[in-house]
Amino acid sequence: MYSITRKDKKIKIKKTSENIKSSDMGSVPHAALPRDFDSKLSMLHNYIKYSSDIVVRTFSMHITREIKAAVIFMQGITDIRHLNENILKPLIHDCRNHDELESFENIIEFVENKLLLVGSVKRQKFLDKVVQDIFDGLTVIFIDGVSEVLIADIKGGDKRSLNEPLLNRTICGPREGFIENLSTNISLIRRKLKDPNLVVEKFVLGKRSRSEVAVLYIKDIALPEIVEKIINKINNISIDGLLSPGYINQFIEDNPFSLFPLYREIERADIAVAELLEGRIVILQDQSPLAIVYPVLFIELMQAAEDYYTKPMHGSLMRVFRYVAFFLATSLPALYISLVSFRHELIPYELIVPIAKIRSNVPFPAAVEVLILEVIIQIIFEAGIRLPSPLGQTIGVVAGIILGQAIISASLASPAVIVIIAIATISTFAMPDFCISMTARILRFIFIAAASVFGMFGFSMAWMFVIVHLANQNSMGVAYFSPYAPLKFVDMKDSLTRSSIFSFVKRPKSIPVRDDTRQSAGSKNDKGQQEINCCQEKNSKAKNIRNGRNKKDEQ
Amino acid sequence: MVKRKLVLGFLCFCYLIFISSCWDSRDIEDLTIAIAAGYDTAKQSGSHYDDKENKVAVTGVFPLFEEEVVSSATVATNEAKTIAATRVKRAYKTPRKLLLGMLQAAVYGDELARKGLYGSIEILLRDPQVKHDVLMALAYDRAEDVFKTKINNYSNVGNYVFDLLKNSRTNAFIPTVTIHAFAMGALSDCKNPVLPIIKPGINSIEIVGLGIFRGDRLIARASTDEARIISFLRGEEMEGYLPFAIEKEGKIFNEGSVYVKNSRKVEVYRKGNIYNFNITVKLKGDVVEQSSQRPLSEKGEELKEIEKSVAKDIKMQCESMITKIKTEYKVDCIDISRFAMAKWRKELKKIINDEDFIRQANINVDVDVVISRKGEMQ
Amino acid sequence: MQTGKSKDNSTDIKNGIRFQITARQYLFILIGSATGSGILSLPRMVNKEIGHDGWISVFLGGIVPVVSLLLIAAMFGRFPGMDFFEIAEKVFGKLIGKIFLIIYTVYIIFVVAASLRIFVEITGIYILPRTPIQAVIISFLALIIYSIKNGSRLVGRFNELAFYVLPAILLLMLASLTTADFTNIMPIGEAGILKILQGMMISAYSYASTEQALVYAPMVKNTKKVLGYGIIAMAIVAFMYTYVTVICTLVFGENAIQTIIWPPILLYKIVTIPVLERLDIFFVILWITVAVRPSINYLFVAAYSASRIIKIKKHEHFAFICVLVAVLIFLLDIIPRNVEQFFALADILGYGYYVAGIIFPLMFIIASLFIRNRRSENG
Repeated sequence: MYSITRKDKKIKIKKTSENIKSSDMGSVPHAALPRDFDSKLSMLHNYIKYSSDIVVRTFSMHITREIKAAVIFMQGITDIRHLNENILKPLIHDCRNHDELESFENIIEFVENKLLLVGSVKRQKFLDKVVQDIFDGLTVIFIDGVSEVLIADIKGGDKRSLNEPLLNRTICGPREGFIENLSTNISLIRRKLKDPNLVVEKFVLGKRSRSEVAVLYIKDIALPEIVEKIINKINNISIDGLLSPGYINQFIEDNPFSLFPLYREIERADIAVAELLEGRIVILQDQSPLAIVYPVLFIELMQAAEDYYTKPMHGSLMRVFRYVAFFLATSLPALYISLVSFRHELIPYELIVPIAKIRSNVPFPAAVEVLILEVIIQIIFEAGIRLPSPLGQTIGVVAGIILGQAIISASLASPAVIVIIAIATISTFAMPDFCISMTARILRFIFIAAASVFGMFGFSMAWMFVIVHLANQNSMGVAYFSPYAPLKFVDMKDSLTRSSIFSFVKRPKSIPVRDDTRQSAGSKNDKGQQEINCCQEKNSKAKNIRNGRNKKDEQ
Repeated sequence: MVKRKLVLGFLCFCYLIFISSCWDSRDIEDLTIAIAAGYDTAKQSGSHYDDKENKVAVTGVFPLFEEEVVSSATVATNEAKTIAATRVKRAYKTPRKLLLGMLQAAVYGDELARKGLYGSIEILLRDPQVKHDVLMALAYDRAEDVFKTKINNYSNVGNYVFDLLKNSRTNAFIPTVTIHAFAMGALSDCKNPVLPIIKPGINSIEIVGLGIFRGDRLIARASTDEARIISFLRGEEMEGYLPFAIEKEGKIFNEGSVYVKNSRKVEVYRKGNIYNFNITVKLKGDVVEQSSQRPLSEKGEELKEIEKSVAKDIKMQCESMITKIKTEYKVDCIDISRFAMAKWRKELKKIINDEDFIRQANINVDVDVVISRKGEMQ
Repeated sequence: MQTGKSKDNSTDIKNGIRFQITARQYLFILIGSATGSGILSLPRMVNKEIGHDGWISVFLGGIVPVVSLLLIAAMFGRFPGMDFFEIAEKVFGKLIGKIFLIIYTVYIIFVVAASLRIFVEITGIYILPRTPIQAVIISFLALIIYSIKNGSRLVGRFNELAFYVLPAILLLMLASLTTADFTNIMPIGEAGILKILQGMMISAYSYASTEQALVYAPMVKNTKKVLGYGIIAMAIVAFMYTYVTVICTLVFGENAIQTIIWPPILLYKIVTIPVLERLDIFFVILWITVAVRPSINYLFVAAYSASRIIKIKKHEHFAFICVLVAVLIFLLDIIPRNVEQFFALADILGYGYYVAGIIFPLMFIIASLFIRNRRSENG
């Protein structure tokens, strides 16, 4: 529950228990619970009386004598069946069969070891911790005459069933996405990555929300400095409520003011496992289906998981298209403005009269026209998100086109601009990562602004700014724009196009790792080829024998 | 944080200022686009404020965008002392600003060409927006008349002229000359350019010949047949149809046409003070029609006859052309002196442009015809 | 020179991680600084002096920067572990050493001012005719400040990225070869050895990027590769310059080329390609990438040397100095009346290259010999 003690590594971690002092709990004193049942009950009742969904179930156990006991649990979070069968039933019912209790002092131990049929049980002594645990959804069992209580974890309750994630859709890949339950998410990852070196470290963040955050990495691949950095930053987060991993991002990101996302948000377990295998760190939060990956490179935001599951050629083609889409999404309206308003002679000769004819109907200058349409499309896009069904986006864009037709008839814009804005908008949706499509939208506005003031020169200047900005970013200390800058030719094989899996012998050099061998040398093509050769030889031998026999027969 | 907000606020403020009154942006429908221009010497003499006589008249073709207007281009002529000054004169009448960057074709009048064209081209070369492969042509008399021809079946006269000049290379054995080629020819010591000559006809504009230049001055005009031969000798790579006629026993045995592409090879060597040029004109193409009803056999003997006939014919024409060049034109319009310069540049630098050089040079022509295909029939 | 500078003091401008570059970035920095405005006026200059054989002297001109690099490597070899500023003070004493450094810095500032102004001029001619130069200069300077204030690491990364624009631009020039005349470049070697050597000295001005190596070379982590990579950089630059000069001479010829200010730009306007019709659309888009790199590299050197002279340690103050130097350059650029004065300035700066690139290291080496001798006499 709380941060694990790290004896083996010298890392300064503030134990999160220190974060939550008694003052944080609204003045619940850090006092030991009394032994007496009624005083315990009344003490606890002070804190739980405002929540009518916390239930106190008193009962009596019979172990050599009748002992009063009670169970406090939170409705909705606790799995009632477990509660009934594994806590109440043994304590109320089956304890009659146990008479080995030597002394009353050991009763807690006795109950814990022999009676509670629950997987995760702890003892607790202090009032503030007990109250915390009640509100964390754990079940508290206390017994008359003993000051220690038992805390059992039988959380259940409703959760979403596994279904296709909204974010990282794919055609040829698994359909399971993360849900809002942390243990389920971790289990999804465990199923795909059965390595004992996978480390799961849990933290509790947020004073009031007390959300569980899990940090996952593979111990002998990920670089300890990066892990240390992330964990230090997480421990320094102090906020009252943590509603989504997005909050965590903004606290630990290297540069929250950067245009580009320095992290990756994923919703699928197979992507998470791929990232872990490359030496990245995955952060999961309870009650959120999003996982965050650090550190990340820019080129990865253009990669989709599908690229790796299909043939290299298919993956490469799609990836090239994504880059083209990124370029179109950001630059197409700006290019239009700079050609039409500034460098007219660069327009191909056959287009110039049609373009001028179209534009002569429109009263606004080209820059203003583009801006108006851009704003309208963005509003439609936002409205499309709020529409209830998942098709909201498509409906939004279609409505935009119909609206666009009306705008043309009213001569507020020209058809060329509508086409351009539509292409640019659709290209933004071609990005596999949602954050980067938001970035593309912002960049589009920046480029339109630059192009409308300085034309083609402004457009190039804006691109220079963006590229310099990109080259400057570091994601957890790792250069963001690598392998383009600093140039690492080895990693280029996975950037614009994806080369075959036989070339993925080492892990990408751009992210420093401890162990960078992915495949052993023998598993390259040679081995497969040798096997095939053997088979062919065998087949030809068989053929020869067959032929020989036939020849003999003929003779 | 406050500093960042200040910076962003300042940027937005600047942007708002710039977008309303930025310096360079001109929307395209607010411009008059010139797609073709004609340059002549002025007809009338001076206007009221510059008392010298007008030197040039500039005709521009401006396509129109408004849908209400019926005709598709306006043609306007203005006269002033220099070419750029005519823009001022035009501005008195035109409501919009001029965009010169889309210029596609430029036609120069005869009189102007005889005085020397470089000064008139210079404005187009110096303008950074005008592309350097604007097509050039000479007008038979005045460029103004060329552009004022009424063309019914074409979008506008500027497009007509431009397409005519662009396709003359592949249709008509007339070279397509860009401003760049002309300027290089005029500025280099040893080269002299040529220009096609166009003339207005009835409802059309025709190419009537080739203009021969010494430097940038027009000195002679060649007819279309001569133009073809000069272009062969110049080595301008073109395509077109050539007729052939094979005679046997005094009667015409086979007539027809071949479609050829030409190229050439030039070798130069000197003996003492005499420079000998060997020009090999190579023609390569297909048989397009023939009148004898014999099929052309597989072995290709008939093809060889055709080749020989064409070669002989062209060689005769070339040799008579060369004599004409030596005696009448006295200028190297077939672009061979640069090969001599390539070998003996320092020595020849001074004398290469003299008339004597071409007159004394020994020029041999050889024609090599290769016919490879004959269409679908035998 | 010692390797392995500490990574802890990341705000220290001398040793911080933001001020270290890799050997490959060093290579691209050298290439990026050289291929600036030098490449544009080079064909015209050599044709004027030597005629159509200018390309040979352009090629041979590459020897001069290699000599300069060798001298610089020798200089750093005699003083392991120290960079240029420390060497100057050690060899000549604090006062004279500072004077040399100030001369060096002033020279670099003038180089930036001249090259920036020329670029702005080119932009003004081809791209934005009516925009006042102040606006263009301010936007350039804003971009440059943003690039250099984070240290040479970003400069190196940016040069690495932006290098690939050069092959693209150069390949596009091949389209103009359809109008080329191969006799323009013949006969080869006619100008004679003497003239070619003369031309070599002239064309060496355009290779002027090795005086930056005085500042950049100590920043490279892997010191063994510095000399080799520097020579490779100069070889690539020599190849590019020769390529451009040859194509320009082929297309234009030695007479006509003297009427054109910047022949390589004109190569784009001569031909028409099928879809986009005009090739100079690429030039316009890609131009700024080519133009801004030398300014970034030189301005970084200027700001860095200024900060080291004034003994600034912290990174934040370095950013402030960058802005100051940029403002100074802005003032230098807008005060003169027209660009002709900058052309003249650029010619003078050509001599300055010899001073900074060759004479300075030579001086330092010779002076260091004296110091050694003096010390061995004394002790």
